Amino acid sequence: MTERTRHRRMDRRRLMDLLVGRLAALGGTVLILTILSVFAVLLWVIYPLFLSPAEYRWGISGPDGSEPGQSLLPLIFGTLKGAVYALLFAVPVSVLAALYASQFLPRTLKETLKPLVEIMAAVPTVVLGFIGGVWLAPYLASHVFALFLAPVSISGAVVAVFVLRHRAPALFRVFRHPGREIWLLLVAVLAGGWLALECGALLEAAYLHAGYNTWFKESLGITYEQRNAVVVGMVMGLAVTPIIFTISEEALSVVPRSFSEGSLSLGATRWQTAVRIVLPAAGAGILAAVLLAFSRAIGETMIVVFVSGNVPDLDWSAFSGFMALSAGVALELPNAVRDGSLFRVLFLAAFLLLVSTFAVNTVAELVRRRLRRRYA
Amino acid sequence: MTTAHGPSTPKIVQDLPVIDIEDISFWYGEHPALRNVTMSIERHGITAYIGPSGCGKTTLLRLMNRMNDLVPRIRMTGSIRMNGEDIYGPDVDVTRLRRRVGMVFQQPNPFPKSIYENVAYGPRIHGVKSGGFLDEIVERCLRRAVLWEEVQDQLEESALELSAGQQQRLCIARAVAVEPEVLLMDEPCSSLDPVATSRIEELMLDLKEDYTIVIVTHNMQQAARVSDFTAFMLHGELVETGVTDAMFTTPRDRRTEDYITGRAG
Amino acid sequence: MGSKWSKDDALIWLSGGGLVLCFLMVAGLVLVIAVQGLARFWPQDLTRYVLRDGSIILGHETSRAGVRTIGSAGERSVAYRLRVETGNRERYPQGYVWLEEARIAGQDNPREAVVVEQVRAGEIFGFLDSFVDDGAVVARGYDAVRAHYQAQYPELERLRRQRALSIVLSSADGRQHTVSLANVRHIYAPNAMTAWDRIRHYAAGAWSFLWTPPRDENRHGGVFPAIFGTAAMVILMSVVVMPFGILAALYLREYGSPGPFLNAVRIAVNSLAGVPSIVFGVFGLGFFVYFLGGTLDRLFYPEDLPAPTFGQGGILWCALTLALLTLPVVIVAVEEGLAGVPLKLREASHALGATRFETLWRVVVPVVLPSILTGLILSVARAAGTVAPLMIIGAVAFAPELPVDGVWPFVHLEREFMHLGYHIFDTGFRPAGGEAALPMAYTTTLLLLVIVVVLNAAAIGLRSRLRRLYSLSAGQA
Ligand SMILES: Nc1ncnc2c1ncn2[C@@H]1O[C@H](COP(=O)(O)OP(=O)(O)O)[C@@H](O)[C@H]1O
Ligand SMILES: [Mg+2]
Repeated sequence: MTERTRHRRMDRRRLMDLLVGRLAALGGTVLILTILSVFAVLLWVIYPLFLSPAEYRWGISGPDGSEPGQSLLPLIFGTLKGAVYALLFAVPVSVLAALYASQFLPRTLKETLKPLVEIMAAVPTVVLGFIGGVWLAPYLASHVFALFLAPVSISGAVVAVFVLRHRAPALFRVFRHPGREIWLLLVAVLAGGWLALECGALLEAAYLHAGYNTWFKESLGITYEQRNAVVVGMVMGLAVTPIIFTISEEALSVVPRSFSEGSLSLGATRWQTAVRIVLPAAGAGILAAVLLAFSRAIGETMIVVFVSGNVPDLDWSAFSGFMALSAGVALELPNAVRDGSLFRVLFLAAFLLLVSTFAVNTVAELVRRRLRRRYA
Repeated sequence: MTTAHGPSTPKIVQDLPVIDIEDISFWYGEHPALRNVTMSIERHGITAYIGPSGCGKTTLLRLMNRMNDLVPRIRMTGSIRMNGEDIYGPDVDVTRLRRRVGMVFQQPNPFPKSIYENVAYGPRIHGVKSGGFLDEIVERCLRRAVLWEEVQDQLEESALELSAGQQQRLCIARAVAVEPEVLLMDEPCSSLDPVATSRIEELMLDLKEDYTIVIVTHNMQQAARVSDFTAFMLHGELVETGVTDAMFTTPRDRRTEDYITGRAG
Repeated sequence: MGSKWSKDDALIWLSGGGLVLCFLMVAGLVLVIAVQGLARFWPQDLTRYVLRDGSIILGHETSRAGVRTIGSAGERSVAYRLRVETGNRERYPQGYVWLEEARIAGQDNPREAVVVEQVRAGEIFGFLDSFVDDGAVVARGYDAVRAHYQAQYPELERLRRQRALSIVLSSADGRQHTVSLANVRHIYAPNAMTAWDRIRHYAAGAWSFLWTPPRDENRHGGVFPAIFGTAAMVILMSVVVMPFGILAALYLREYGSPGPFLNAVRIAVNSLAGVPSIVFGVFGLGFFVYFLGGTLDRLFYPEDLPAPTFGQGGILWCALTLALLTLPVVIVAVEEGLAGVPLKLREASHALGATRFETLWRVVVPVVLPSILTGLILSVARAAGTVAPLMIIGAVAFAPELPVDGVWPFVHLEREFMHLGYHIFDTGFRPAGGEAALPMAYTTTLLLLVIVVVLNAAAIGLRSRLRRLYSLSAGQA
């Protein structure tokens, strides 16, 4: 190899290095441009609304398809309503689940649990929305009493199995192994659900004479809509559960063991330790988890499209439907005339979604970072 | 302070050892950590465990308040009795046991709460609700741990802001707040500077009036300075135990002598 | 001393109940989808209901419901009724009837009852009456018609074109009904089927679901164009997202020097990951479809204007939009891979005088390849399941042409296309084919769910193998 060929090879090598470096930087630049242009494009379509608000009629046709409504207010309201009901369902269940998984579940079981949760998170929301709207909503509409009873009967069954296990340990020798109790729990929860259905049927026989709609009207004075906030809460709750679970489980797991040991050594029970020491110490992480779930619920589309009923009302009732911003955009934008007023208003709706999720995510990220710094 | 011993200690046992360890062997999985350890812990004295690291001191200490219960795949034979009662018996309430046998850890581990809440935590979980009574307990315990003067103006501030030595004294105050009979201390000074160490040592000598103290230490001078009884452990076995002065001057076992004089370990 | 357990342990169990409940609910919903989706191809027995008023109905029960009533004296009672699938939409436009149990005088499952699957207008339930060949009856009665049909079956296609073949069916109440064989896809007698027959019928049904287009307003047929469209869109998307994702990850982990620009890229990735999918759809409509597409139309297809070519929703714009959506997924996966490459490997390479690129190419890339694959799988799974943006930019309920075909230029990037997820939305949300299209929607949902779960499971498996590998190599250090 002569001096010159070696030189040329050296140059080619440097050139390649430089080129790939530039390309990588280009990739980064594209990312920045993308997020900026998302904001820019939406603003570009929206800004005429602000130049001459009088020219544009705000909003979306009413529930009967006749008059255009006055504002996006019912949709903003609907988005918040859906998110709140989803969190009402998801937060208690998934924080409890995360607490259990992080504090009381043996490591091996936890390791098998993680991929399951991950797969749960990957279930497409159109699937959840479909099954929620087409199957769950009608099913619940004919099992309302059972729905009311379920929380009580399920917790009751869990406690009953627990007490039974300790009163008659001989019966449960198989489940003595740590972690095996998860199977007992499974049985207990199933039994509780079954009990709720049976008792619900009994109550129906006793109190119901003409279907639930009449019962709701007469007994509670409200209308029961089949696609309502409770069903949205359950389905969208299930959709955001993996987020809350994963992030809070992580936050709970990184709380130093020395804290819980300190508490246990003072004679606190495991539960007291988990709730009074570990849970507060992971508070910021859990808050971040809830915020992220909130932002997901705000932006979620397919579930509200299927399950919310898409009626732009202003009604907090758990048994009435609503229409969310995202569903409004998805359902109306395909029919909106380009650059017409509905078109621009729907872009405004999308912009509201963008800005609010961005804000909530940012807060969540800051909270999370603070927690990480504390125990780093 | 009558409550210090707890009402369940009859007069008659006052002169018997608090804790009797009888033929304890212990395994983490397949790994043996303790072999046939037998000894007793005398009331109102300071018993020090010395020995090279990994010889099982912490393990033995944690068996005395059943802190090892939650470690997976452990096995134990033998028995530990406290005031004559088997603490691994079937009807033992572990939380009550731990309340009577408190623990201070190697690394100071105050909760990420205020100083006040740290001390009040124990009484709270054991059912003290009244604020005035709590205030009293907090002040008494902080004074007992010789920390009151330093922190009385910053009770609501986070305990994590204190210096390591202060944190360790706070942990002692926290342990004292549930009125235990026995206080287990696992190398309480190993992460502290000499000044903080000597303050803790003074504190131990002071606490000995009311509590039975068991301390694990790396530091033989410390054992010699503060303890009444010393036990020397090696490879999971109890080599020798006795009155501290005697042991440091005339060790009976060759291995103890080697260790004390610095020829081994 | 007190007993060994306290109410606190019960609370621990309750929190465990929360964990179990989550899983059971998801499992329950998946079970419903699976049962409903899988039951669709199973041949169900036909039952002949004889009513008290003398009318006769042939069909199969799909559900039973109680109706509560209050009598004149205030006594409560529940009357049950059956929902019976009837086929024969010429007579029963809804395809089903409700039968009060009290009205039913008797019922049986006649062996000769047949189901005729038509190409158009759904199924007909009835009894074979005669086989008509150019106006002449050549066979009469169940056995003869069946034998004749089966004998002719191999040549049906040819014969059909030459002569007017038809089958006369008599419905349960004796009415005659002539079906041209050109409109017959399949005839079978479910009540006479053995278990093995049923399994074969089931397999054939499932097979044709995957490989045929939908018929009869999504009530019958398959979802082949939706599978094809989804795959085409996802491939197109991967082609775009993978290079950019990998480059961005390289920048974040390898080439970027710490500073405001790197931070900005990092923030951009995080923000992009948080943007709701519907917003991407709106952005895609405003930017890709109207701006880019409109510009392309003006430049290259001015003769077609005002009819848009690229200026309307299409597969390319959907792919680009979903590429933006899945960019963070790829970046995170590749980054994790890059982070896992032991530093000492790189140092060794640098110490030998290799440039950063050479180190990357020969040392890092081979190790990171599986992570790139993981990113690809995850982004594909994500794109296959994302529907909201497609509602705005280009997926349609029924596309007559596939985006790839034999017509030049073979790949038609501007075409609207069918998509599995959108298909679920369309058949489930406001089915043009009415409730009768729902079973098909369940099956499509099951298919999509299986695809996404399998893809994710593959990615998770791949990643955990990688992690084990890393920890092994780190352990050897
Ligand atoms: N949680 C545990 N799991 C497995 N082995 C342990 C555990 N804790 C301690 N050991 C082992 O038990 C032996 C005794 O440890 P330890 O009691 O901590 O010793 P010391 O406190 O005297 O340094 C050591 O060999 C140590 O490795
Ligand atoms: Mg130790």
